[in-house]
Amino acid sequence: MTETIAIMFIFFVLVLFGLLFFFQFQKASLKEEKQELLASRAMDTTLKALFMPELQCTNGLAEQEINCFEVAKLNNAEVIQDSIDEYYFDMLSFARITIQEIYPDEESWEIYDKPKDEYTQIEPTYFVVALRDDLSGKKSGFEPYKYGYMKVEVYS
Amino acid sequence: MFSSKRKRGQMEVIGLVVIVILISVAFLFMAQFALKESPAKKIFTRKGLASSALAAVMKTTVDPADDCGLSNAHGALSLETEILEDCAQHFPISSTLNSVYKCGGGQHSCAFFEETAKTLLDDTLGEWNKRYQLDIEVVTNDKPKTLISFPSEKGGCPENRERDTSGTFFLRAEPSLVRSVLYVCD
Repeated sequence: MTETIAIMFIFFVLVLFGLLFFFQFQKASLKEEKQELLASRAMDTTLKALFMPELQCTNGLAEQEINCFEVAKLNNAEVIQDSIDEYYFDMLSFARITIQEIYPDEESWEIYDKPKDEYTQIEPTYFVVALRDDLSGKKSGFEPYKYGYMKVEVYS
Repeated sequence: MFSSKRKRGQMEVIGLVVIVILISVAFLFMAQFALKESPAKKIFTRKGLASSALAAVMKTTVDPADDCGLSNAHGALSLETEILEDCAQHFPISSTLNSVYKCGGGQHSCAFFEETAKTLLDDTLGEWNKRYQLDIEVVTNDKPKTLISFPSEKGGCPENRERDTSGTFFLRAEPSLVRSVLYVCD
């Protein structure tokens, strides 16, 4: 009788351990999956922003310069911000995109801002970019490439 | 006598079962941690950062305030095509006056490139808590020589660390070839 009770006890302890482990694992997996989905959206948004023809450097040919934005286009990006419509929302969803120049000067441009009302998390992604300033080049005969970065924050 | 022996045997079996359970639980925990892969975003970000950071550094043009003494036909001095090329062609540094361009208060092109690239990388990768290592070599017919090599303030990215590379950037600097690689790690 005592042995049976001992075996039953061990069995239930095992089942309890198993259940606890399973629920903990499920909880962690769900959290991780949510995190991965947000990270995946952050990557998508970053790539879409990096390859937006509205911002990318061009030289009059079909081929575009990768990881490069034109300052003249950034200066006019306010239009995009002001008229966030379905087109940009479908493409970028709830996110905030800023470009920061750090050399030689410090200047920043906010090119998209659509915050989520009640967000639980923000996932930032950074990318280093070159900023081509053709217009200032035309004035002084100097065609500079500035150094900066793009910060993409997605809301969940 | 027989019953007591049987009881002892059963207790031993129970003890063994408990030990096996403990070991199994420990293994499960170990497996959970060991099989944890780096998230895809982490890898994507590091790889993207390495190549975009080096490409941007190379493209960046020198601030006119850093008066380099001379300018090229277009008026803009690129860190790669002018300063790094000049550095490779006037290496090793024998005096501060032996490079064509003397930017930032008469510095040799190698010293100016190193100082500027370090500032730019520290202000971006360094600020985002990434470690990096920039290696630039001159390749001639002999053994490659290190032209510029520096790690981030937090330390470099040795081979035994999980790291991503920008890929190799080549620059022709007659009579040699310059090979640049940026490694980024966490």
